[in-house]
Amino acid sequence: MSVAPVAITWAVAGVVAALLLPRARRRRLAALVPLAAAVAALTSLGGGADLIAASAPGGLLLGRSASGLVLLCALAATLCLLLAPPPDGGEVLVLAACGALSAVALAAGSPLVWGICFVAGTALLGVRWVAAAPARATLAAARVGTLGAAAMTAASPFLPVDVAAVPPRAHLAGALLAGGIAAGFGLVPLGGWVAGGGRLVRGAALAPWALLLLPALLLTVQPLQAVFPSAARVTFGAILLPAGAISAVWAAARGLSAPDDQRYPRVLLADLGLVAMGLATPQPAARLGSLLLMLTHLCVGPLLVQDPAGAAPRPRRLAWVALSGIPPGPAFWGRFALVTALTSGFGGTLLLAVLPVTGAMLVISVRAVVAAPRAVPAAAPGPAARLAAWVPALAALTVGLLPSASLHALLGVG
Amino acid sequence: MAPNEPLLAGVGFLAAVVVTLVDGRHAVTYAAVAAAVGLMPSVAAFYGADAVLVLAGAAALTGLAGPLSSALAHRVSWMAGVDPLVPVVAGSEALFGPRSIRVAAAVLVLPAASWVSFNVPLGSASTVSGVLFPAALVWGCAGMRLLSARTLLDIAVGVAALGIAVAAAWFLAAGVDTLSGAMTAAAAAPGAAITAGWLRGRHGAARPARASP
Repeated sequence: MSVAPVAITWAVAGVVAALLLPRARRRRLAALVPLAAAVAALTSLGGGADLIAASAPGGLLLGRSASGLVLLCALAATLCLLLAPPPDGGEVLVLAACGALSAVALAAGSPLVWGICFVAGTALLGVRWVAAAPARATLAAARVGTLGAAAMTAASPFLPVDVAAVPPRAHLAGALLAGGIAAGFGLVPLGGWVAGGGRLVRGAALAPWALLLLPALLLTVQPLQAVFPSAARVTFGAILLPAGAISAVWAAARGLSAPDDQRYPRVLLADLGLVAMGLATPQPAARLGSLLLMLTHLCVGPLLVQDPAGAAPRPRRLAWVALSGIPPGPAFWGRFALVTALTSGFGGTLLLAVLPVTGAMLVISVRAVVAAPRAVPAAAPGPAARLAAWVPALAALTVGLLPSASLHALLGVG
Repeated sequence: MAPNEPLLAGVGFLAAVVVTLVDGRHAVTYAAVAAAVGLMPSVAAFYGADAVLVLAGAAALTGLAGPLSSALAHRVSWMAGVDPLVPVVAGSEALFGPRSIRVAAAVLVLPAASWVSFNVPLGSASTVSGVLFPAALVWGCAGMRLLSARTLLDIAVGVAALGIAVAAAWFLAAGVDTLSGAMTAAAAAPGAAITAGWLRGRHGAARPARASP
């Protein structure tokens, strides 16, 4: 199906909401913007060919996985805005722009259009973060995030991958794409912007990256390892594997000592490190594990990106349980599949890095569960917000109980 | 007649200098026009008139979109605004200023762009080499502009020049959906101008509101 209805819905609803809602003083209605996009995505669900980056001319058709992801992202953004309405129209506008751009990126057959969507999305996100909280960390988000996406566009003239088999060209294409992914995922040494931004912005301001751009980037780069020529595959893996391992260990270690409101970004970064390691291997289990971890974070993200002081403690506790890695939580299945793929692809040595990370994330989650009852919401939430707070945690548990059925139903995978 | 590669490289070099050094309210427009003019001879020689039209159109739209967006934002006075010209973080006294740092970074781009241009074949149909230098240089300077950005205007200048450089590289590579892909990339320049103009207009609108009691 064409991506046009979803992208146009995102754009039009975003502009209308940004212009009208602040005047009408109805900030809670901002959730209607991603909800409208979700309805548009629902009508276009099914059909189409799966995207292989740098595939073929024509493009702008959503595959089954892509249309499922667009729907999930829009629903996650809806929940996020229900739980914490944006402070002004600019927030809604950036969210809608990133939603439209991520949908187009998911549908793009041209690597150039794909890359430009991420450049525009990360640049807008950076500008918004700087406007919301001017600081070194938010400026770094604009600098590094945009430059990383720009590196991916720079790779596009050296693609498609099947003719990029000549060594200097293959190495350059692989390195540029891996560098762009590392910047977008917030991997060490390019990840300071996520950690710093996570300290300064919360809720709807974090949603465009965590709930819209990041899942689109992950889904679109997953086929690369399988379609790259061997020279590009070596460079791609040589960058992402160590960067992912160091990022996962570093983020998990920092998460152990992080205060309550900064735990979730650290866990997300640690999981992204594991996912980046999974991108370095063409094993199918790595793909499934990455998708399950992405689904988990799409489920719990809308709740856990909020300020703990403003969120209901019980659903928050349940969300942390789903994220802890205890079976049958969805994070357990995702990390288990990833670890299995990594050990069969690179040997057991990687367990030295991966197992402490999973252990640390369990400890972080336990600490968060213990801390959750102490956090008292500043104001009593309305019935819609109370209901919305339970949805992410319950959705995550459902994914954990039925992992392969969820992947098949939501993304058409498995 | 074979294209004069040193001349094409020289014009691209001048465009990269402008992209690196330009500052002020209209920096996005100047950078986009310089990048487009500097890369037009290359794309004209290796792709054709369509490519020149796309780059010229992007530059013209950038020049129009910035002031229009600024004027529109100025009327929407109920929004607060940040000044895209003011550094986000106050820098300490230093021996070298931001422009010197940009120049130093751009000097490093020069050999990298040259190496890429002469050692990495381009495009799916042909494996021509040596033609990418102007686009790679402008892209590199735009990237350095992003990396050393201190203001939101630096980000906008970087994105605008980058969009035009990537569009030119796409024409040279004759990638899939060449014309529409390059138009999408070149649209980053007017997009950056709209954003910068919008921020400037909002800031201009917010100033009198703050001054009034």
